[in-house]
Formats: sequence, C-alpha cells, structure tokens
Amino acid sequence: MFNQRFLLRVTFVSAALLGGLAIVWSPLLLFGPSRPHDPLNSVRLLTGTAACGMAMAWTLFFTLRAYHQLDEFQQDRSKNSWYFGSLIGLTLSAPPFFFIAAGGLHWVDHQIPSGIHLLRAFLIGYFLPVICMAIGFYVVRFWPRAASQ
Amino acid sequence: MKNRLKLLRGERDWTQADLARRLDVSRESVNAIETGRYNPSLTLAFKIADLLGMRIEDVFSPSGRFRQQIG
Repeated sequence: MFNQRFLLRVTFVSAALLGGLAIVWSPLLLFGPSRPHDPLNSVRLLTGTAACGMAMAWTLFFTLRAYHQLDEFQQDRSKNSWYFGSLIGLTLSAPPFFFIAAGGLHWVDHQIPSGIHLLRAFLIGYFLPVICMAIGFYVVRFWPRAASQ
Repeated sequence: MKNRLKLLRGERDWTQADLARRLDVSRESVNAIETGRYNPSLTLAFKIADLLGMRIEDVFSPSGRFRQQIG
C-alpha cells in the first residue's frame, strides 16, 4: 500500500519534527524550566539561541530530504502551495497587523496594555520572519544551482 | 498540452497505480497528467513514451492556444 518513497518521506518528516523539538528543548535539561520573574541569565539565553539555530538546521536538513522524496508533480504542487499560500497568508495578515499595531487590542479591551515597548516588540515579531523570508527568496532566486532546478 | 495517456494505459490493461509504479511516481501524478492538470517535464514525458514503446509526440500533443502559437 505504501511505497518506499512515502515511507522515507514520513520518516524524514518525523525526524525533522521530533529531532528539532528535542534539540530546541534540550537547554531545559541543563537549566531547568524558567519562571517569568527570573533574572536574565546570559548563558541560558545564548545556549537557547544556539539550540534554536541547531534545531532549525536539523529540521531544514530533514525537510529537504523529505522534499526530494516527492515526485516532480508533488514537488511542483508543494512549491506552488508555499509560494501562493504565503502570499495569501501575508495579505490576510496585513489588516490585523495594522489593527494591533495601531493599538486596536487596547481599544477592544482596556486591560490589555499598550505602549512603545510593546509596539516595538510586536513590529520586530511581525517583520523579522517576513524580512528573513524575503532574503531567503532572493538568495534562492539568484542562486544559479537552485534556479536551474 | 493534450495527451492520450489514459487511452494508451487502458490498451495495456494497466491501472493508474500500475503505471505509477512503473514510472516511479505517485498515482496522483498519473491522474494529474491524464486529466491535463499537470504537464510533465521532458524527462518524465520521455520516460512515459519509452515505457509505452512510442514516440513522445504519439503520446503528447499541443492543444488550444499553444497550437495556435506554434502555427
């Protein structure tokens, strides 16, 4: 019923998700869970950041292995879905982004705090992945080997 | 692009799954090609023609607007 490609794909996706989660949570074994009012621990912060980077590298590696198990139709469909799906998602996110950035949540419920620090955190949180995705897009766009595939 | 894949597959009494296994692609890919939702790469088109023992133009042919463009 399941061919070898399908089983390999499931294996790679499982390895990507489970391995990535294990790596990103590994600092918990070293430092234990943190509490909201704990003072900032720079070693913990840097270890967590490094673990996050390693987890994403691990996940990317196995996700690409899984992608290469797809046949050309499935790869084409996957690329189309990511490209146009991302564009649609980004478009849909724009109105709520403006609403929240303009203080809409505080307007809806006065219990929700507002202020310049929260606004700055929200802007960074929104734009960081978008800018990184745009950079990734242009890296792949102008990477000769990727363009030829 | 039009193709006669469904007809040619039927002549050989193959199911979509049989053809997919011989081509090392998924059954949904065979279905997408047969229904014209997907135009295969040249590599896969040649592989299909080779498997059927035919020339590529005996399996695939231009249609509609593309036929007008190439005259």
